[in-house]
Amino acid sequence: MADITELAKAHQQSLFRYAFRLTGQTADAEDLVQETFLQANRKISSVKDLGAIKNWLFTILRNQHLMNLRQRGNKPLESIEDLPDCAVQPIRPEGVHDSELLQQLLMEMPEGYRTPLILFYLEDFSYRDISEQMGIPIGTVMSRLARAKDWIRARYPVDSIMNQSPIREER
Amino acid sequence: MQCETARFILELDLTRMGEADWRDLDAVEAHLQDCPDCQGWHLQRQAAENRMAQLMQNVPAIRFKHQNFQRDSHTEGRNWSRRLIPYGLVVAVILLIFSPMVFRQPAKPLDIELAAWIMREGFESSVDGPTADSRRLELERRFARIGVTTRLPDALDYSQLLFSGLVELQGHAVPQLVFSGSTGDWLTQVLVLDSRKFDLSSLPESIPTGLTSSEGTLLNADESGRFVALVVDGFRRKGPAGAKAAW
Ligand SMILES: [Zn+2]
Repeated sequence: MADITELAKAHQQSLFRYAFRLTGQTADAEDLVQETFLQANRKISSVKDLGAIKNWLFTILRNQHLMNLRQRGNKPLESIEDLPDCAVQPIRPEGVHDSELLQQLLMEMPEGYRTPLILFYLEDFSYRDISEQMGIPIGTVMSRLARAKDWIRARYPVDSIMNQSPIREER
Repeated sequence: MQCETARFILELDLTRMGEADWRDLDAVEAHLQDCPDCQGWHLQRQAAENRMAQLMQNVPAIRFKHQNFQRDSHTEGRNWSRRLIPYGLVVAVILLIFSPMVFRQPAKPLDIELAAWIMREGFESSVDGPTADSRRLELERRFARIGVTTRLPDALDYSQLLFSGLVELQGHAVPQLVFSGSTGDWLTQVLVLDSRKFDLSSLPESIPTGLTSSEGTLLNADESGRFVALVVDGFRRKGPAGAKAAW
C-alpha cells in the first residue's frame, strides 16, 4: 500500500501548482492541497493501480475545488461563449507580470475550459489522463483545449511575451 | 502531405494522444524537412507553447512541507478534538477578554518572495465589477497575510485600484498600491510605511517615486500610529524610478 507521507512528498508541489492556477490564491491553494491529502489518506487502501496515483490525486483535488465553488454559491460559466468578447488587449500596468496576467485570464475562463488548459501546460498529462480526471470524452477535451488556447491567445499575445526577457524575479 | 494537413496534425499534439499513429508523425516530420514555411510556423508555435507552459508552471512555492496526514484522519483523534472544541472556545474567549495582546504577537516573518506574490496576486474578477469595499477588504486580507496589521486610509477610492505589489524603498520591502487617476496616465501611488523602519519626520520629501510629482501626503493609516500611508499623485515617469519593483 502507498504511504501518504511519501505521496505528499512526491506530489505536493505539483498539486499545489494545479490548485494555485485553479483558485488564483495561495491560501486557497494550500487548503485545497491539504484537503486532497486528507481525503487521499482516507481512501488510500482502495487504490489498486499505483501507476495511476497522480491522476487519482489530481482528480480528488479538482472535485474538492468544484465542491468549494458550489458551497460558495459560485455559478460557473458553462461555455466560453458566455464570456464578453474583448477587442482590446488587457492593460498590463507596470509591475504586473506575465504570470499574473495569465492568472487573471484563467480566472475569467469557465472552469470546464480552464482546467484542461492548466492540466495540459502544467503537467505532461495525455488527453486520456485529462479526460479521465474530468470525466468527459477525449474529443471534448481536445475541442475545449483548442478553444481555450484560441481564447487565451487572442488576449495574451504570445508573440510579444516571447520577445520579452525572461522574468527575473520569479522562479 | 499538404501543408494544411501537416499543421492540423501538429496542432492536435499527437504526442499527447497516448495511442498516436506514429506513421502520421513520420509523414509530418518528412513534410517539415521539405517545407520551410511549415518549419518556421512549427518552430514559432513550439516556442509559444513552451513559453505558455513555463508561465503556467511559474507559481510561488508551497509553504507547508510533508505534514502528517495520517494523524489528522485518525478517527479517535478526531473524536478527541471534537470533545476539546468547547474547552478551546472557553479558553479563546478568556484570552480575548483578558489578554488582547496575545493576538498581536508579530507573525513569523514571511519569505520576501512569498510576500511579493501575495501582494501581486490578481484580483478575482466579478460579474458586477469590483466594489470599493471588496477591493479594500481583499487588500486588508493580503496585508494581514504578510504581517502588516493596518487599516487602510478611507480617503482612497478602492474601486480604482490597478494593482498592488511590494517595492523596495531604502532597503526595505514596502507594500505599494497603484490607483488609476481621473484622466489618462494620471496615477496615485500609495506606499505603506512602517514608522519603525522609516524616519517619518523627513517624509515625504526624501522619498523618490516613479511619478512625475514627488509631492506627497502622509495619511495616518493606523490607530497605533505605526503604519503611515504616503500618497503621491502624478503622471508615470519614464526612466528609473526611485522606488523600484524588486520582486
Ligand atoms: Zn508545408
